[in-house]
Amino acid sequence: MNIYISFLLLLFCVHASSQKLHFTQYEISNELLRKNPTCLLRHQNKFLHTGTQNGLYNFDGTKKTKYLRKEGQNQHVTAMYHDGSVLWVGYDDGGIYYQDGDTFSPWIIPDDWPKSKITGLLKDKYGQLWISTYGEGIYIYSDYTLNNIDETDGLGSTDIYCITTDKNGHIFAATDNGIYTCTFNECQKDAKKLVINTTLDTEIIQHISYNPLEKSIYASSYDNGLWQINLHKNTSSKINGINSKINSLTQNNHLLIASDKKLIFVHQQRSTENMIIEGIDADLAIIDTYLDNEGILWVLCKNNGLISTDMSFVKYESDVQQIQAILKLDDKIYLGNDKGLYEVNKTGTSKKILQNENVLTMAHIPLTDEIWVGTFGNGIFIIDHQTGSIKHLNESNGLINNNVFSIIIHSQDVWISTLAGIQQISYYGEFKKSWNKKTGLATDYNYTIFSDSKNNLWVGTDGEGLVYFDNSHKIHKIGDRQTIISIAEDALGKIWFCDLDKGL
Amino acid sequence: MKYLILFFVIFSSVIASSQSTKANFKGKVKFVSNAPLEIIKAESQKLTGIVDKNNYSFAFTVNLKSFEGFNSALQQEHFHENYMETEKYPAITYTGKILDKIDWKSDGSYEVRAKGKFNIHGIESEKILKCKITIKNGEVFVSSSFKIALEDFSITIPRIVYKKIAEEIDITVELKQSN
Repeated sequence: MNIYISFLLLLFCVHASSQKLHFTQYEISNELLRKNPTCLLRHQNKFLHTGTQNGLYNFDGTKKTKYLRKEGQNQHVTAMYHDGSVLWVGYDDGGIYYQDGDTFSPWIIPDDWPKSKITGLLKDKYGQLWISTYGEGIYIYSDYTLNNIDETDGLGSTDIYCITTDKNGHIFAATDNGIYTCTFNECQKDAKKLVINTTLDTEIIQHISYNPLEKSIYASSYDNGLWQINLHKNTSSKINGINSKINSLTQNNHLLIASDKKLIFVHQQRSTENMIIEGIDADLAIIDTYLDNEGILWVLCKNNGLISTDMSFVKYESDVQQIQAILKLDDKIYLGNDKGLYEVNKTGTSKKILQNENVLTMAHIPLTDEIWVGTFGNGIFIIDHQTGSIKHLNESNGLINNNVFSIIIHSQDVWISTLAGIQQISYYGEFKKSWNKKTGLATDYNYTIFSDSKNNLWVGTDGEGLVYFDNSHKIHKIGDRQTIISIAEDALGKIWFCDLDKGL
Repeated sequence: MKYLILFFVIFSSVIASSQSTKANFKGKVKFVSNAPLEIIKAESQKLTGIVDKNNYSFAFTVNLKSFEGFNSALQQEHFHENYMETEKYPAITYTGKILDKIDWKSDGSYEVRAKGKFNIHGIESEKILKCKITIKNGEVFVSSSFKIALEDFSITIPRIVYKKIAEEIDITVELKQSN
């Protein structure tokens, strides 16, 4: 999909305090601006869909195609949703169309039709189509029947700004009166206010976005900034430093917040719940943004039409060679190789922190603000991020093995994998429990360790496949004689692992 | 003209649906255009409206011809003929709903949000306004300050005078219950 080549018109850059974003502007921009663009969507790495007040535009990389309703009908696209096979398009007058391949057809059902602006479309895990409107509440199409949830069902307002869903099939609706959770099961409909924080309860919520890794919702208020609602812990917190009116929230690997004059990136780390917020001044008058699976940020804006930038890589200059471990903390990058540990700042200047150590892994512990550095042969060094003071854990003071391949945070403790099993250690360096071949592990040689979103602990072994500990620490073995060197989880909760011989 | 008719239809329906809870309001509206080369001020004492205290709906209107002030008669003429097209769109309306609860029967002061549709220059646009409602000895007072962007209502300013007319106009409203 070589969209870049076909529509390349000019390049320009937006300066940030810590980085420079180079945007590509597309030839189609002038036409889009004449049509008053409204929203943006890209499914996987296929078409880029742009809704306008005068119809739907698709780009396939070499040509643009315009899709219109019948002549005389309202062409103002207000919402788009791709269910994996079909693109659903909502209109200002309540009309809904769908695009399946080259076919663009009205969605026709015998029930009463919404007459208000469509503000959101999505399918829940049961395959039910949810339609939010600005004026008539929410519709659910289930078993060939259109059902309505409005104020009589407990919804605080029938003006719905947008909807989103979680893994459990709950639908969250943004209203003038806070956030509502809606369910529809076996013709039973229900709408309840999401009561977490008394301030947030009365906010006009205009954008919401669900993060499956954190089990949290980000909600932007009309005039009171951005909030994070942790559904797991039932808590909410206001994210400081975001005061301008938010035009769009986009979530992929990180949260992207767009206002008229600013792009703000919230980089999340699930295991630590740490957030790094980077703001970029971009006087673009942003209408909508979309961060696609390829890491490309698409921006639809009044000033420049359609522009994009590749967000997948940020270049840091460094002369450190043969890097084995990386940790980004605030503005600094920590790099480890077989000669030691280096701290690299934004200008590329590096400072050696540990001499003559073979550094294999690193982890930051937010509670103590310490960096744990695992080495081959010399245990763990714990570095105070603020003062630079160093503590040392090794076999002589209780570590199970001096060859530490992986360090993670799991269940409010530090867990390490070594050549003598795995070990649980408190944040303050107190040794708790360890497991090896004698106590149930498949092998003593364990190269990697990973904590998933369901709180399972995964261990990659040398020649014995994958092992995981469930919530009650019961050990399960998966796979055969594989050597697993890396484990990760995607946004859908699928576990990915890398076999030394057979790849991903 | 059709928008004015629409306003009166809404106005009438608010009255008809809630005879016992309706409250009429009268007051003034001021605007200030604070541009680099000139400040323009004008005011109308003819702002009227109605609020249904039961369902919190409201409708307000002001006739553009009632604005007085300006820096010259010629400027006033340009305001009506060139920018607002007053003959074609004689009034500004704002209709909608108060989002926050108010105890209308007790004295007190409330910071509330009103969500409604402005109709200016024939263009309809939704705005959420912060208002202060004060109830004292049974009398209700409303005040609000906000900005209106000319671009939102397709009011275009010639490039030659763009330093004399602001892109955003500051509006101040003060109302008192009249029944």
